[in-house]
Amino acid sequence: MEDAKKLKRLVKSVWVFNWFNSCGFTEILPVVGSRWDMERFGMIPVASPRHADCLIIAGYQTEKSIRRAQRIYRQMPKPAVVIGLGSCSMSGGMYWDSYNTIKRLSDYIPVDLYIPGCPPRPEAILKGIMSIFREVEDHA
Amino acid sequence: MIMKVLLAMVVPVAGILIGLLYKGIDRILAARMQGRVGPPLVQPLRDVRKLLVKENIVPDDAVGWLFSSMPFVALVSVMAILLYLPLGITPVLEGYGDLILVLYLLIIPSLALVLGGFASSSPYASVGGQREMVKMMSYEFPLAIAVISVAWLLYSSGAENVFSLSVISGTHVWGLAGIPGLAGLAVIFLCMLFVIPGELGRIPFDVSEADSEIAGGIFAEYSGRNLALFYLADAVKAVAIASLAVALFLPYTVSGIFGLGGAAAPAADFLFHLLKVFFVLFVSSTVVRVVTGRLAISRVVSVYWKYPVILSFLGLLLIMGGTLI
Amino acid sequence: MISTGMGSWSPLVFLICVAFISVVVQIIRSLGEGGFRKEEDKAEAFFSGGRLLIKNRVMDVYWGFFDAMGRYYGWMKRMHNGIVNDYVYWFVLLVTVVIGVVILL
Repeated sequence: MEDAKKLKRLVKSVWVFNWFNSCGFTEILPVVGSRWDMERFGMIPVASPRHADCLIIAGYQTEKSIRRAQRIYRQMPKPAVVIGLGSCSMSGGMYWDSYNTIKRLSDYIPVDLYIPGCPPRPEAILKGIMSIFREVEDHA
Repeated sequence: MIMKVLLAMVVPVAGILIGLLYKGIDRILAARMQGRVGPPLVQPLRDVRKLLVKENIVPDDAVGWLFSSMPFVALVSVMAILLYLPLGITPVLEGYGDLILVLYLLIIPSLALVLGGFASSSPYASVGGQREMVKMMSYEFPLAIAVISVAWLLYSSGAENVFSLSVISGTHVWGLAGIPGLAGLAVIFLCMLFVIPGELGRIPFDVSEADSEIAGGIFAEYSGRNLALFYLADAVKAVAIASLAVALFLPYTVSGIFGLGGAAAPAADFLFHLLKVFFVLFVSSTVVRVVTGRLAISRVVSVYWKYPVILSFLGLLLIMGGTLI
Repeated sequence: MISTGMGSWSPLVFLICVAFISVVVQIIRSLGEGGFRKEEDKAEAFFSGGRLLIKNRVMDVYWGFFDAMGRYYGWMKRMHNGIVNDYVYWFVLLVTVVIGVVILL
């Protein structure tokens, strides 16, 4: 089955694995909660990368934790999607000058989508996910 | 004869579809109760179709043949249970298996989960497997007492072949032992509803597949088609255990009331059975899952050994008192 | 057809049904992907991204059984204290009980 057909099946039910250090998860929680419910799109949070289709790397990553994140990305069964959440993954964000954090996520893991914000509001997260859905539908 | 063979081929497959339907209904109702909207009704089917296109990763240190065969065993055994249960109509394999066989067959899916957990080379899966095994030991006792109480009641009121499921679902047990018997049966029905979330692994008893504690528990290393088979086994197990509870305690049929005959009677009975199964699953699984939180494993053991055992013995005593009077 | 006084079971019919259901489940299983493309760390155990160092104790497949049932047989392990006199006393006691039960019944 080629990748376009697989992705079409994948976007109907995306299971999400969150990998975050500190402040990245705070705006994903309302997306899971009842106000900006993400289960209506079939997305549920899971606890093991073996179950996950989407790896959300939220917030800054240090040198130590990016190695773990890389191993977690390798342990996910493909096809998979990686989302970099927040401006820390795009350009270092608030920690642009730090000796410890990484400045651009796509140097370490192939990223499919960046969602800007510090942290992005739930509506922005949902808009980003919608753009993935729309792109998969356009390609099919 | 031809009808029986046809039914034996259709019922397990229908069990999968009905199980996925109930899973979808459960998710929608749980979401509405939590103030959310909830996924569409066919979402579990989409989940399974998605899982079938993912890669199937087998860890290097896992016991490979055990790891890959346990989902297969779980789904096959739980679909075989459906053939012995009365789904509104008489059981498909009527004279060929009885209640005791169903009780033994119900252990196999949980045991497949435990073995699959131990065969994954993950510490999370070992802990999950151990928890599932301890939980299984705890809820088997109230389940056995509940089943034996109903069989004993039927035996003491003169039926023969008390373990045959067509006899059990043909006799209405609620009136057989007077007022104490009614109270006893209500208490035992409550015990059975208490055992159902433990058997299915729903909150508050989902210690073995805990997401936040042990990172997926038993299923931590499963992915792709193995996880899809376990998902389907979980869906069908809900139908099986709820059908058992309905056959023991709520075996009423509708076709007598409406005077239907011929081909319409089994269809109407089957639909009414689906309604009763929905009621049992809603009360024991969906509402409880939304309202409570997860119990720790030590509390699961103490909760299952204290309250349902005491309640079911009380119910048995009440039933015995009712038959003596 | 095995039948006791109260119930009955036919293993042959059960095996035939299990065979048919196995065919159905194998069809469902074959709709999925069989293997996986091997990459570097893909088949390691999941340990939140770290490397699993303690492998021998965890890889023991029966660890869960020993740990869960430990409370129930620990007292028996403690009773086996290696003193032969104690073993002989237990043996004499149990043989007396068994002979007593056999004579009484």
